Amino acid sequence: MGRSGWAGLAAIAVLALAGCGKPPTPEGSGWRSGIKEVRMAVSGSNDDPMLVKRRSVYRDRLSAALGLPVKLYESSDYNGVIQAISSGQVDLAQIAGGAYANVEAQVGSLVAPILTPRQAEGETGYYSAVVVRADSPIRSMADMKGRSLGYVDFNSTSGYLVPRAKFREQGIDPETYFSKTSFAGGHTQAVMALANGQFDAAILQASGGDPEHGFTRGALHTMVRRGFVALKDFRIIWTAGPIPSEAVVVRTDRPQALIDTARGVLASMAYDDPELWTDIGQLDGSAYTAVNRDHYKDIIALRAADLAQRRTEGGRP
Amino acid sequence: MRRFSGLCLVLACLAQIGATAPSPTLRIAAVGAAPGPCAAPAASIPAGEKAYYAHLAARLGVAVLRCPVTDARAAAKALAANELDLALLDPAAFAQVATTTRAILTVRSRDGWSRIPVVLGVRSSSHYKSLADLRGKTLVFGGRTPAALNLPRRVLAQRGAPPTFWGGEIIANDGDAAAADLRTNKVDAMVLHAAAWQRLCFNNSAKGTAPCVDLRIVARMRPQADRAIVVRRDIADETRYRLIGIHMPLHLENATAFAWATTWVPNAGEFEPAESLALVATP
Repeated sequence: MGRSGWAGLAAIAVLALAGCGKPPTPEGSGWRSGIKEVRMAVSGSNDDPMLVKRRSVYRDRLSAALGLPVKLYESSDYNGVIQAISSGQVDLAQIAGGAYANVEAQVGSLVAPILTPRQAEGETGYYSAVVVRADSPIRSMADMKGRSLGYVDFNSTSGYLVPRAKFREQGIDPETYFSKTSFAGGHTQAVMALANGQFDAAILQASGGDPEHGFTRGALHTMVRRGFVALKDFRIIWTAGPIPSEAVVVRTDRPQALIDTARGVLASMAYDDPELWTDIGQLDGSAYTAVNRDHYKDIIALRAADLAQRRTEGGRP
Repeated sequence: MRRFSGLCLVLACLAQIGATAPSPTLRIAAVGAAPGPCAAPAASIPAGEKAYYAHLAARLGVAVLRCPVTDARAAAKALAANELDLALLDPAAFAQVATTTRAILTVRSRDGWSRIPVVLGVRSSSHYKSLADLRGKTLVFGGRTPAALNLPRRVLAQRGAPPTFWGGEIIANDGDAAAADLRTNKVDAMVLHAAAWQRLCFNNSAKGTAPCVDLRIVARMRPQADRAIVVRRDIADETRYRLIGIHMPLHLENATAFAWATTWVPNAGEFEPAESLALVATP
């Protein structure tokens, strides 16, 4: 056999190995039939844009495990992700509990939560915080009467839904107690609006701790890390929570194999690559835990009640 | 030449499949009195066991076979020999096959804690490089909660550092107080769980000052699992992830199957993923 013959054999062997590919899976690849790519949506406005970029890690890991291209779609607001998953334009998404409640109201069981982060101490929630500037005379919610308040977004759990419900529980009518309320458009925008004096107070998400021990994550800390503000320039005057944390949600009309594999890939990251896990903005010592609709039933009820109240009162934010 | 090339192609495929491919079925170790060949589950097995196999079969789309083995060591041996695909192992059994298998799942107890990492820190200026260097020295814990005290105690004991290893122990009120004790030379080392360390050392300044520049991490350790579900390392990634993704919500989707599959954990809460060496007390 000449040189060209050996080269041909080598080429055949390489092709053969490539054709054999990775070890076959029990079910084979039948479930992939007709699926050209997997699409995942994340909200780009409620967190550090750098962290959103790092979520491309999800894309790469999912793609490798699923054997399909994975496209990551970043929406500038909550509603973009809500509509994308509700309409079936994407297969899975990361969304806040309140946003999932909105999706559930639109499409019911066609979308289901499958994972939520659990913190090191076992909590699966975070907090809503009313924050003022440190030089403000406002020290409590009593001082907020007749003052202006910035919400995050109508679809924000911690930045709208839960605090309004808690205000009502505490005898504060959010429609009349404040002189002015409006939506900042996102947590990042809410921090900057507060810093620039547009509101007397803003409602922000806070996590990585609790009211007793303090917080290490959330909108304010994100902006601190990015160098836009200093933590010492702000003060938390009120908190509510814990609120069920964000969910990874999936379209339930997709193949079960896709859903199971995605859950396994995402949940394994905290254990297989803990440095990467914290690098993409997850709390150290946290991990994903499996959830279903029941985990968010209180938020779903709050959303329904708030929508009913808004219809009655004319829909002022 | 054409016939020879075709033979090469077939042989190359067979060689690769033979080395790495999982069985077209899922073969699960079942510890019992007598060993035997893998076979479809008998009608007489407990309802929970039947439900577990049926759940896996439906979700994976394969036949699940029950493979009787006498104990965990025999299961480990059969797993490494590709006579099984999945087995529940303890640290001793896993030690025999640690290079060819890996843990994928453990069980979290309802009243227990997750296998969160703990961090052992010292002053940057000290000469301590490892846990072993700290024998006879003084240690401070960052609180009395289970995650702040019981968890680090367990992790340290698993690495050969029970309370008698230390020259003295102090339990501070929280992470800040523990760090103060370390910084003022009251103790030689501090142990916190990972989230407490992150809270202590988070950079709160836009100017980038590092709150823990004077401290150094000597070891970062997860609790060693008592038992774990183990597979061969050459299992296809998709199969491994699917097994994890199927087991994690089992407590929500199939309580009967979950109860049987976790009888080895009192008050079992849920399956959680595990790192490959979860059954080893890694440094």
